[in-house]
Amino acid sequence: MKLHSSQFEKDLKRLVKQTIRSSPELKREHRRVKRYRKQLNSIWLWRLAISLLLGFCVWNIQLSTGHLTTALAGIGIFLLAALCFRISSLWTKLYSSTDQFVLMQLPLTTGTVFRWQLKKYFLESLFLAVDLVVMLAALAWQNDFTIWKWLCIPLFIAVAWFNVIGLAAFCALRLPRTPFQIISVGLIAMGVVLFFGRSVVGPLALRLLDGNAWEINHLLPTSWALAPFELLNEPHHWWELFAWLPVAFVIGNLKSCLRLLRERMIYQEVMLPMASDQVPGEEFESGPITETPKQLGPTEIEGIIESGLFLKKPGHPLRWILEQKLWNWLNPRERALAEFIHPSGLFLSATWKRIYITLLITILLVGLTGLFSSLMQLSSLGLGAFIVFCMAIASIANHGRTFTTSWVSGVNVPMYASYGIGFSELARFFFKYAVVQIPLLIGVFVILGGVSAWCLKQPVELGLIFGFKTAGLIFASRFILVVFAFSSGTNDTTQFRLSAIVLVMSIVVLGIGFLGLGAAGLFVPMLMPSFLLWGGALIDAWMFFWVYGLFYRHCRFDLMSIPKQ
Amino acid sequence: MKIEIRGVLKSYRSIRALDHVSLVAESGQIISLLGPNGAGKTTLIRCLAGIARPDKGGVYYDEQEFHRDRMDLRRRLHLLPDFPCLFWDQSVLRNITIILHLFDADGDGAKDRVVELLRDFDLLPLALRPINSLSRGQAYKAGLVAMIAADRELWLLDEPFASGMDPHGIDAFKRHARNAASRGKTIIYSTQILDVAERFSDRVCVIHKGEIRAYDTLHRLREQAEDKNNVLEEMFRQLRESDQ
Repeated sequence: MKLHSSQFEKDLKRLVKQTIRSSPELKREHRRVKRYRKQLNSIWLWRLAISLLLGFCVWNIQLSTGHLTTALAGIGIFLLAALCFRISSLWTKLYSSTDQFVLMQLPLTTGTVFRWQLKKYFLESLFLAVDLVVMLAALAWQNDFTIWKWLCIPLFIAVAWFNVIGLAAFCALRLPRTPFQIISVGLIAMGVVLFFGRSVVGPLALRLLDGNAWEINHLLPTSWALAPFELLNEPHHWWELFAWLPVAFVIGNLKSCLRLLRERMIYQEVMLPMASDQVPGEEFESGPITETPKQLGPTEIEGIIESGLFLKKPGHPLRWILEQKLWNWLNPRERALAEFIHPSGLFLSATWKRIYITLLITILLVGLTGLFSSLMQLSSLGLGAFIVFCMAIASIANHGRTFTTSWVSGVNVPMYASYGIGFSELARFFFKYAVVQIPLLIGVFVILGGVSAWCLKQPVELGLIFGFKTAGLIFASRFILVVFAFSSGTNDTTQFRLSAIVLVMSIVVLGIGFLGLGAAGLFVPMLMPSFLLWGGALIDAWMFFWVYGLFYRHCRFDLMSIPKQ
Repeated sequence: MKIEIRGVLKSYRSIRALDHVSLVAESGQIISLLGPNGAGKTTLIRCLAGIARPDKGGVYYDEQEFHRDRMDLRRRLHLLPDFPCLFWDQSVLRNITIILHLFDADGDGAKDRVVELLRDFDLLPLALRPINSLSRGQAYKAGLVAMIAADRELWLLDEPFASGMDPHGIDAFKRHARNAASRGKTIIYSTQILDVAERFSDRVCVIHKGEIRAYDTLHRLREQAEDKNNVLEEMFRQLRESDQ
């Protein structure tokens, strides 16, 4: 697909350069504004280096444990992180790329723009195939594969790659967006921790991975494609082939997912000409254009305004107890912030209702599939737990409209920065918003922990404790996520200066600390030390927030960011 | 509110957007910021609003240094960018309400003030419509109504006359701004339209390449100029010639 003429672009560039050279004044001006140094296209080299590093890690995992299953579990976890990246990338490419906005202004059909963006997405995703080539080749080399077994590897690469792409399309279509970015960042951070702290946490992590490799390979949807890889070493494990059944479903579903994503890609003008009036105190559906819009006359509108109803707080009714509890807990300033952060109203109960319904469906599926196969049971549990986790973290870390950026004179400015809203008051509101959800959060994960323990034939009380601790860590992640949200709207780390270096170092150290302590708190078998480590993770998360707060108040950075491509 | 900018320096990478800018503005004035594209007008407004933090120097309101943690000072000013930061799926009235709540300006007389402003800006029939169903000019007017209704001590507006507002809206804005200035509010706006700046400002601040080249009342500038009828045009011509 060709959307532009590279020859024309070259000619134009040459002409512009000639014009600049011909005038001393233009030359001076050009030198003044030449901001960006010519960047070497080194990304390819970096990416290849990462692939080789991954191959090295996989090689080492099998070398240390002596188990192919463990190495495959490692690849499965990596693919999970890659999946999260792919989902985010797909979303960005299709729905929020600046390219897309420009392309839509050109005389091109939406279908052409969709294919163009999708092509870029697929090209970018090819790096994942390179990773798979390197990692599986490392395993094949180590296991002394025969030529016939080597010939099977491309099949596994293709299936695993399409599985990730299919899952990414499915998740982009069906699930909320935010958690995937969070998970991917979390997993990368965990990878960094493991790599740099391998002498300290490496043996423990390897032991955990080795002990749970079989479960990971069958629980993680990203591992399903590689589970039958073991057949190449142990052909009598023929039942591993069943793992390809859900994979076949995922890949088969890819086309329809892409079709639905294409249907969602509707370019909308900012103007909605036939919108209905939004009468204060009445329910309204935001956005959609209706055929018979409800539109009041000026006299009626004046009457509504004169009644003062529009100034009432909250602007939307609080139907459920959770919202009422939160509202009663907020002080007047926080109530104003609540209106600002959630202008369409607080919807905590509805979200948690959906989470509990998903949990119920998961439990039913686990029960049903358990009647047929333990593999299917574990797969259902993995998928259900993954979805519940994403939904729960999205609800806890909901920032509403606070950090939505507006494009203002060439830069992105977060909404809160345009008005007189401060770091501490916003953080306090988010904290209260998360705290009211704690009982429901604990409930979900304790149940999920119990069910998981039952499926994995572990003591149920261990599962309950594990669920409780997971809920605690999700709550603690609120402190970390709010920092990332604040940071995303600033240029705090974009310039090379001492304060930025110190900030990044502090954040990395505390982030690694949280992940390390959190993981240790979850997996260390002794009860008391594990709770101490878990408590340490909670304190670390708070420290993370507190340290950023110090920098936010005192560092020289702006509350705006340059739009990224 | 006395506004003082003391030696503000602000750079974006290698570009010096503001180069040791200093100025003082007393309350009750309308100040227009003039300058070619990229001169530093918007950066100056951002520094005044606390969005951009000066690399050196500082902004002082009533002799108190302003930084992003001084919420008491921040709430005394209102920023209206060229594209207002509004909730596009919410109605005009809801947006105004949220802003009034944020600035704690929803007390006595708020509803009468809102009705009057909506009527003045021809927004009353559209008050319950979502912002995304309005034209750019109407959306800007919604932000403007919220700003005027919140009635802060300092109004900061980026290119209000290039916002798509109709002549009636522009006229209403000028009227309200004049009225606010007479009540002691300070209005600082940026513009490229010299005619507007000549007619609608008490003081003109000409910025060029991050430096203040002129900051005075129009009367004083006229006294110094050769062409008394086209003071600002002549100044811009001189700036351009000095570059060459």
